Amino acid sequence: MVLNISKKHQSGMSLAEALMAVVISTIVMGTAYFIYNNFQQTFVRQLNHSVIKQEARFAIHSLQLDLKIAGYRHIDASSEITDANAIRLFDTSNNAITDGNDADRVSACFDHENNNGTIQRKIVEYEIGTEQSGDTEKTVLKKRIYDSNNCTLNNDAITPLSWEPVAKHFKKFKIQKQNNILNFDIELEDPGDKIIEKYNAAAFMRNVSY
Amino acid sequence: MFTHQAFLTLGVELIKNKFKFQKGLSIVEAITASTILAISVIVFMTLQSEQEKRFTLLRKFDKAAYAVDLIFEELNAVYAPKPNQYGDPVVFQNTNPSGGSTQSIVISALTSLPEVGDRFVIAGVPGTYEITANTALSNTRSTLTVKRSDVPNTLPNLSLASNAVANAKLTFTLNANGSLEPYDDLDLLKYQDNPYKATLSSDIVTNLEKWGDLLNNHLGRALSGDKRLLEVDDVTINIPVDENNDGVTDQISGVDQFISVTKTQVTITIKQDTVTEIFRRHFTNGS
Repeated sequence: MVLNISKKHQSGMSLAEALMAVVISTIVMGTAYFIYNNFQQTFVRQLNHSVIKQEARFAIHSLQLDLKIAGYRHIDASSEITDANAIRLFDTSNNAITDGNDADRVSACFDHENNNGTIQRKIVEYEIGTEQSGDTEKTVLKKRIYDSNNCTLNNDAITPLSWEPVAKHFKKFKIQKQNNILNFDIELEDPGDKIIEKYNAAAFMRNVSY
Repeated sequence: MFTHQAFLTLGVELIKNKFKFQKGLSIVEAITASTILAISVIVFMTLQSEQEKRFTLLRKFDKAAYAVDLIFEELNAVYAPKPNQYGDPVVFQNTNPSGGSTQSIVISALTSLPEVGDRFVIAGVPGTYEITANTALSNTRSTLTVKRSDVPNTLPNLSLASNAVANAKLTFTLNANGSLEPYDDLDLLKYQDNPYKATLSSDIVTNLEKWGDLLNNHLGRALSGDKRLLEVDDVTINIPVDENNDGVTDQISGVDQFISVTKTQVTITIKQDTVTEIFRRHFTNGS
């Protein structure tokens, strides 16, 4: 009899109330998640963008530093560096590229004073390559530097020389020469593949006279 | 002693009391709660949107900085700090004033032809002169038509301040092609404005179109009030003299000594939306 009385006075939530509660909590939680997710995405995007900025800054700095010196002849060097040898541009098939056209590889020849005071003529080269062997996409800016007394380019078929990575996340790397100005047209893609940033920079080669 | 039945009775009483005083939310409370929630969401969304906008602007300026650096590099290629002297030019023969308004002078010992817009001084003749026309080089000689460039253009007499004598030396102080002065007040927003471009020389128009398009690619379309301006000035900087490098400015009779160095200063001002950035570079002045 006691059990009957308790059931008679028991009153819980109705189905409508329960459904309303569920709907409202879903909206509140959904909104909270949406806001959280938005902030999270922005944070990740900014983080990835910083990575790209850093890579771009280093790449451009390195390109400008090495290529501006093209054609520099040390006062003690025995021979001249001709303008034709000072800076050379090539496409992916190693064909020479003329002024005003896009190139994929650049070589600069200049004199460098070694630590022991001797003068060494060197060549520095830049191009983009794959990160690892087997990769199909070229995403890493690479450079190599080697001695060359007559500004003669290395013949990789005879003596392969290795390339060192400079910066990652490249999507495009094009160089264009116009007289003594080099223009770089580069694109980098962030690790999350959300942002593609385009950068244009230039290097004035004061040792090359046109 | 409590029995099982007594516990049940107590439970029923508790439940009865609970529901007796339970009221739930009134409509006002519900609306207030919803409003607070809605305001919070709106505030968060606005902040988020503002942050996104600023982030986008930051990205634009980051890339524009490289584009501006590109402009400076290309100006480096334009700029010739030491003007070309075209050999060792001298006045060929005494100038012969016609009614006191000589504007024509024959120059000899030229190795190449000076250009229109070049400026020079003549030994023994006050003032600086700009070439407005020239004749082709013949036997190292050319007849130059000149006007004074160191006085306002509005003056009635811009001819030679005095007669030049034969063999007086000419010194070029500025080459039209090596000077940054023609780039002064270059409005990079007007790279598609034909009437504006018609007022500029072809070399400057080529660069204006390239740079204007480049900035447009990186910063996007300019809105009303935005600014992309290139200005060229000569600035004089006083550098303290410190010959013994002790960190203390040298003095003569108790007076600090300075040397004045004039440099060509290029300023590029970019105003986009609410952000204004000023980029500057100094070019050594060799003239």
